[in-house]
Amino acid sequence: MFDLDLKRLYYGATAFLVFLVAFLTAQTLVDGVLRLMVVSNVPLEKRRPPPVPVPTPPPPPTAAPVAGTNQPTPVPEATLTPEQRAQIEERDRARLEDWELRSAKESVASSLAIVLVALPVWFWHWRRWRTLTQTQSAQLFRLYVYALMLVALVTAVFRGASAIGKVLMWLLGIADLSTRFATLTFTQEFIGSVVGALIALLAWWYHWRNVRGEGEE
Amino acid sequence: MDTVSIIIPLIVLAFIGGIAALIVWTMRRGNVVVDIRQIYFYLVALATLLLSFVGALQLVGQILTLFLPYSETDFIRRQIANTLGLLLMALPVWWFHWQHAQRRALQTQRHFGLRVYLYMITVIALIVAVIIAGKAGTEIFKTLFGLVDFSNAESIRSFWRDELSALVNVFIALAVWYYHWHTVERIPTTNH
Repeated sequence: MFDLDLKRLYYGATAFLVFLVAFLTAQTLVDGVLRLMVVSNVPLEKRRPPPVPVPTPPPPPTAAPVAGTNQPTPVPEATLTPEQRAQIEERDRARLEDWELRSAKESVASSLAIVLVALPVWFWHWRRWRTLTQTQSAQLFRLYVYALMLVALVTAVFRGASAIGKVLMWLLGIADLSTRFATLTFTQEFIGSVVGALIALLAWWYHWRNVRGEGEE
Repeated sequence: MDTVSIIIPLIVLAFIGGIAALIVWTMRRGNVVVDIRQIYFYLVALATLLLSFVGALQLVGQILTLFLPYSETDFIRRQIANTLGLLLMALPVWWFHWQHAQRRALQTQRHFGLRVYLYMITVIALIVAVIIAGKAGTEIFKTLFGLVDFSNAESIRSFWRDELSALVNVFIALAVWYYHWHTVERIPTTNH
């Protein structure tokens, strides 16, 4: 029914795997960009509730110095040099650094890089694969296209379900909209789900165009 | 990264690869008609039906948990909203693809794939029903043997929540089983 040569297998497998990588990373990228927009717009101290202050116990009673003994005289605390002070300030700043913002930026950077690298690689292999198989090995071509359509549609179902879930939460009044950060996070998750579902439907439609009309008896 | 998080994707990949290899092998043999479009419709219908099935089973437990006085109501309500979202999304996709696959199989007189699909779901639904009923029965026998803690109101309510949830879930599984069993029984006996 068809000839399976290694060249075709290479183009098909590469196009398939690289598309999956680009597609799934694009989903991550959408979430990452929206998350970055949220954490950039809300300062760190307003994102998390301030820690509840723990009452400190009173200091233990200290014994009064006994006069006339051979106790050493108290030494005054050493003053810090400017270098030491700068080091301590640097350490405190590093501890207070906004790790959420940093991780959001790193996530966007890596996802964007993967999508930008993977898309041209996929497109080139996809075109070669389509040319080699669409007319000569139509069954193999259909197998490839329908497999990706399946992945895209199931992804669209998951993302769409998440978006509908958010709408239901909002309608039922159980969405956490207590603070500006909570509202933005809720909106971010809803928009991320909708955009993710649209990307999945776009991928589904792009592949469906190639097999549209065939097999309708 | 633990072992399970590595093994599960590998099993899923092996399953997908196995199906693809089976299709390619069947195509290479050349004596069996492989309608990839129809297989696509069966797989989408299967995936969305299983999602809906699992969602429906979860929904029963979530709704019954709402009646427990110590439950975190907001958390459970959010879970219910998410599960309802899954059902509202997956059920129409399943219905469209299932109707299309069934109509096409009957029109083209290719009943073998339709039978495989329907029997596969009847097997899955029946196994799920047996497992749920078995777990619920185990709890009842444990109660009879005095192994269940009924010392406080919370454990009594949890017990009845689990038993009622199991009962409804068994009915859901049996409904899925019956619908597909009834459908496969109505397929004409001509073999293709």
